[in-house]
Amino acid sequence: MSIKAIKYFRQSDSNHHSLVALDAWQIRVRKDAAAENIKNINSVTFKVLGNSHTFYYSDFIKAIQQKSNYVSDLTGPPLPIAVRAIQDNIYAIERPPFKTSVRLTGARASRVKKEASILCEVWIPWTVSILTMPTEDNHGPSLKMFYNDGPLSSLEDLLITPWTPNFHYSGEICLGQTSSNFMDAVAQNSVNPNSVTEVYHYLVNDYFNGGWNLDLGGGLISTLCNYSIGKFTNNILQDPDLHARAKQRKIKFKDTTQIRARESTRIKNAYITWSLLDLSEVLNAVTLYRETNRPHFKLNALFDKDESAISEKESIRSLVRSIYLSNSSSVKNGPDWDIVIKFSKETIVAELVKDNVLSSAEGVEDFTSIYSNSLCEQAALRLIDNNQELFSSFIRAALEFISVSILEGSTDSQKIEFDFENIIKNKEASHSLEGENITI
Amino acid sequence: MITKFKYSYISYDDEHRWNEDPLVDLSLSYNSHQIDYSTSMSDKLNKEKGFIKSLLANNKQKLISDIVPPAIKYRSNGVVVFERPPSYQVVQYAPQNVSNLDDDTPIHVYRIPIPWQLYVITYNPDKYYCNSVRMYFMKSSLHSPEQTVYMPPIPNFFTNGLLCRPMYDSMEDVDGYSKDLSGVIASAYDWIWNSGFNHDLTENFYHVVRQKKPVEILSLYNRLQEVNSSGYFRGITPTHLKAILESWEKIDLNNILDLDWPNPSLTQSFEEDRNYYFEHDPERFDLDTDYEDSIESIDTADLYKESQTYRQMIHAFLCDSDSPDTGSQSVDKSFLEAFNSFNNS
Repeated sequence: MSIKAIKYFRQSDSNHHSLVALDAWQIRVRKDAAAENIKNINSVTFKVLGNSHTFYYSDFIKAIQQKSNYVSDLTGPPLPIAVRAIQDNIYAIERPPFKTSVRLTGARASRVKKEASILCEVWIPWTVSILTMPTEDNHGPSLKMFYNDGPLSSLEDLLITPWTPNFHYSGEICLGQTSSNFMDAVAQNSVNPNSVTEVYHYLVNDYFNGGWNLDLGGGLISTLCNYSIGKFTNNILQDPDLHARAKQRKIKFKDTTQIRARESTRIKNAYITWSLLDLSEVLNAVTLYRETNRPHFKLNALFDKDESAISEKESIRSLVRSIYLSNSSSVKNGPDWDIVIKFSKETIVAELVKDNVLSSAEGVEDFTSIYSNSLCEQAALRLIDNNQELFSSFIRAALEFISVSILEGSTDSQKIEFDFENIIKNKEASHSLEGENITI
Repeated sequence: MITKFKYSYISYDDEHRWNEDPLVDLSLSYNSHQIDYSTSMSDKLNKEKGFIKSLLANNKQKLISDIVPPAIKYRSNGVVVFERPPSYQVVQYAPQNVSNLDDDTPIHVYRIPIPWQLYVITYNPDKYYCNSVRMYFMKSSLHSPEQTVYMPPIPNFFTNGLLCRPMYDSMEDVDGYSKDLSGVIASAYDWIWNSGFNHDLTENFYHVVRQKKPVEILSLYNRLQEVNSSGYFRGITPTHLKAILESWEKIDLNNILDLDWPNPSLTQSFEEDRNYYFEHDPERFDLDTDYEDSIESIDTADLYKESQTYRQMIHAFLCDSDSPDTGSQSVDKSFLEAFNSFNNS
């Protein structure tokens, strides 16, 4: 165990409007290179490398309060018509039933050579799309879609995974090439990535108009037919009503009840069956499917982000990031800094003797090991662990020293060097940092 | 204001979501209202806790709490903008100002066709009370912030679309809505369409006459004696107002989108707009703010001719007295809550 993360905030004593944040981006413990033999025991250096940001108190408060930017919130691109719920950058967008053409290739995308022709037209029931808009942490949008048998009435409504192909069971659309097409469109300014309407229409249109394949198998439609949910069936011939409709529309289909029928043929037949259904029959199938014990989803669960999973460290990172990205003119990159703590060869040897790695300090010059780096570094880490409180206190004092210097306007890189022995010998030194070995 | 704020976070564990609580060394101190707060810990930190984590969580804005009706065009903390398509609306008009209303005041009922409407609502984001309601007319659904919006010539509205807040007899009328955005929208809608209208604000009708928009609802009005526009209520008497509503009633809903509606003001009256332009948008009238006087610089007639986009109305709204209260807690209170949470971790 050793120090893994260091983060620090300080407000200026003389000017309360100024703050600095320090963040360690690398913390390492290394055995110093031995001149004689790299397998020898040698001194160790503990080094913390960090960066700094200076900003105003108002930037800090604004980031904490997460104040709304009313101008951008209220005058950006308008939302699509049927946004039914919003949380942060996640939007639930509802769409009433519509008819769409099915262009289905009975193969995986990699084997598709030409665009499939239109197989049939089907009624898509009410859909609820969960669009996650791009953010600074998440560059591309993502889209989940679910079917419903009517308009949403509550966050508790049960939704089901769509029957069309290229959906994961979680409702996530397999975007495939769409993701890179989207990024291209953004680069060419033909899509505004901040417009919910444009992003939604781009993704949904691409899904419904781009043709489907069997990359993720046939999807739930097979289940509907296998379990004869609603009027879905594997055998149209056995349903006189459907058979009559097919005959009337002169729709041809293959008999897939034989064991040797190909899967892609079965799926195409399932779509033909779907195309024979009117809207009320499709909506009824959604209701009946939902009543089975198959997976279904609730909007509130889809929106329920586990905020508790975010640690204090991530919260600090997020806060500093939002200050940095606030576009405030007072936010500036401050100088880099480092804290170096030297563990002398004598200290390392004494620790190795104490730990019975070495029998005595006398024989150390003759001791060689291919593990010498690890032995020395582990010895230094044990020393840190055994003096954790004192060590932390010293690091804090060093951070305070650096931050005060930056708040006073220094733009030079800040460096503090100290010998571990001095930290141990003079506990007060960790508080005052007024020893001879400090180099700034 | 928080002063002397210092916070150090030193972690002795790699932190992953699947990890145990990390071993940390934390030190926090600050001053608030002349009181020094200081604490430190060197122990396992409960992953659910942390000072900055609490600060952020306490201030987190939950923008939307439940299913909302369709046609929300924008939302921000304490503000929602939604639209409604053309429809017939019932206007119950009492031809008296509020102080003269009594049980004998007759109620005139009109069923008028109205074009697309855009509602800008401010509300308390913690308690979901409606604070203010603005309404504009539009010729189509809002598809861009650059779209022109119009003044609704309905009583009890200021010329900038702000509704004069209705008075209610009981708390139930105010508080009886669901405590979510749907409740805010329902209450805003009721404020306008289900609370009745009186003769309190008639400036909008004067602008129908003055701007001659829409002329189609002036047919009966034109037969009346001309108004004294400098008089009280701009000369719009209940007779004038009823004549306009009566003509309006005769228009078919199918033709409502063909009508031209009056330009709105940006502030509560066109005359006040001069100061707004002077302060916030001098380029609009090519104003030289160093040398010109706001009163002399723009002719009133020019103010009436100025059409306004949705974006321009929102910019003016954000400068107005009903500009949204963020409802944020004070920073000192947030610090204290996070401090207590930190101490209990």
